[in-house]
Amino acid sequence: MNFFREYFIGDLLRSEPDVLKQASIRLIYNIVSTSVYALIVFFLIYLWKGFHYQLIKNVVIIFLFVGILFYIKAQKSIVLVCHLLLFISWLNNNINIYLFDDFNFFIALLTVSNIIFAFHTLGNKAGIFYSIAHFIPIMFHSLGKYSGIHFGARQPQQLALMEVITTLVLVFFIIVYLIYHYHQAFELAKVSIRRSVEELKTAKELAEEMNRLKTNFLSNMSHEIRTPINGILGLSQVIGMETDNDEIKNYVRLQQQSGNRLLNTITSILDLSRIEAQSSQLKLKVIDLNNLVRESMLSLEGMAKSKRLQFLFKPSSEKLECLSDETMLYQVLNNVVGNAIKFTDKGEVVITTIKKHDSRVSIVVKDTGIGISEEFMPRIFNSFEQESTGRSRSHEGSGLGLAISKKYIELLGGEILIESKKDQGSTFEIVLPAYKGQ
Amino acid sequence: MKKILYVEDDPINALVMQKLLKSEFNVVHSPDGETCLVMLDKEKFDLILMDINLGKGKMNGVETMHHIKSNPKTAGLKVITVTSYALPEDKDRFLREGFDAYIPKPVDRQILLKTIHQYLG
Repeated sequence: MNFFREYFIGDLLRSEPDVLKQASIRLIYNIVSTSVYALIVFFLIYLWKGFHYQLIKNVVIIFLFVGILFYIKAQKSIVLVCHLLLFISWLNNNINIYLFDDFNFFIALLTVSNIIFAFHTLGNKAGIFYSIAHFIPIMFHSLGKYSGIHFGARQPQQLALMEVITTLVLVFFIIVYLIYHYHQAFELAKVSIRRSVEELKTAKELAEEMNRLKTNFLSNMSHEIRTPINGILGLSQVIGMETDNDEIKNYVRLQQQSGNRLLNTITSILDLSRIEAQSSQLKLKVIDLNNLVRESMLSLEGMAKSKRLQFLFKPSSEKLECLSDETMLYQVLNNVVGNAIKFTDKGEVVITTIKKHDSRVSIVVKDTGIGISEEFMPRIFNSFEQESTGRSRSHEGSGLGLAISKKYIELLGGEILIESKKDQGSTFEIVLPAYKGQ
Repeated sequence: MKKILYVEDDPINALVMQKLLKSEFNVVHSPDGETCLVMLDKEKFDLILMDINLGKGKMNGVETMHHIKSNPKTAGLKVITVTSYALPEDKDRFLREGFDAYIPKPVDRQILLKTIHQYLG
């Protein structure tokens, strides 16, 4: 027996990784091969009894089944075979029902077995198709019977004991086999899900630990950079204080400028790399937007004044509140307003606060500056990008401000909208969900 | 001239502070927290500037500040931290710990003077 099994399905089993599909393949082989052995026995008995209808059916099926085994070996696929087996079994049921008017317990059992078999080996769609295909003829027959219509009045040609017991054993075997394997696969899946959950938990803990390490590293990094910069910039201030030489004073001023620029760039890079770590520790509180704008304007007033710009605030008459992280929001606002002043050489920078209709609030920063070209607009939030890079770069900055602002605002559940025309000015709108109160 | 005690492990930064403030204050330097407490016991100071990371010293700036604030003799002294811990959340963290004010490094002389004058009253 093992020799035949190895010969017909050995290669196929080894090429199939899915346990459930392996079970299907073994099942098909067992059904077909057992059927062949049984049919050979039946052939002899039918011959002896002279049941000609069953004999013809029997001979055809023997050839079919032996052909099936060779087909599986050649094609390395059981799909067509499954359809064929289902069709034969279906046909057998219907021959019994409609030729002999014999719908009995075994036909019912076979029907159940076929349906489970179809779902198991061919999947849900085929399962439903075969369920319907099996149900309709039986239904039709039953309805007919109770309406007094008889389909086929031939005498049943049954081998009472032999066929009944074989069918019973085979069908029971198929049902138990299928359900057993499904259950086993289900148990395996449960174990593997439990294992996956545990693996995920470990991975999550590891990721959190890495995040903590990263935060620590960045915080130490920031500390270790600021300490020597304090030495450099501090001594440079001391030199500026102690000299009367204007040339040297000017050098010191330039040195301070470069130092501050370096510091800003480093701070921005650290902020950018800390964003992920920060997302888990937002400090949300209710913020009065009008107050926040006033505070931010206070620190930028000097810069606007030195460029002789009109720096105005038109607050909303209502009190506007949002639930947000103050440090982050302040940084975003400073960035956007700072940019507006930086890129405006004459005219005004106007900030307004608005209550929007969709339960959101926004801060609008409008300037009369150089504006943003259409080509640059898609890249405006990219890190290290400035519209005029290279030698023609006319404005200082690392090109990180807006990249950070965008990430912060996204963390806070809002967005930044931009409208601009080259050489006519820009409007930046910081939109945030409004605080709904208690 | 009012006397300020500056606790700082880095000698260059200590020098910078002394030079930046020398026209207005007498800045005395202590390299670590332990020395700072000994000096406070012996001398009278008007204000303390405290670094946080005190290098090899056993106590850091926060612990030293707690010692100062819990000693009735020195509890009234204003302690301002001057530190390189300058991430956005650090300011809140140190003010919550009990420092009277926070100045991030690198220090700007103008801000330094403004803050010190404010706390000297």
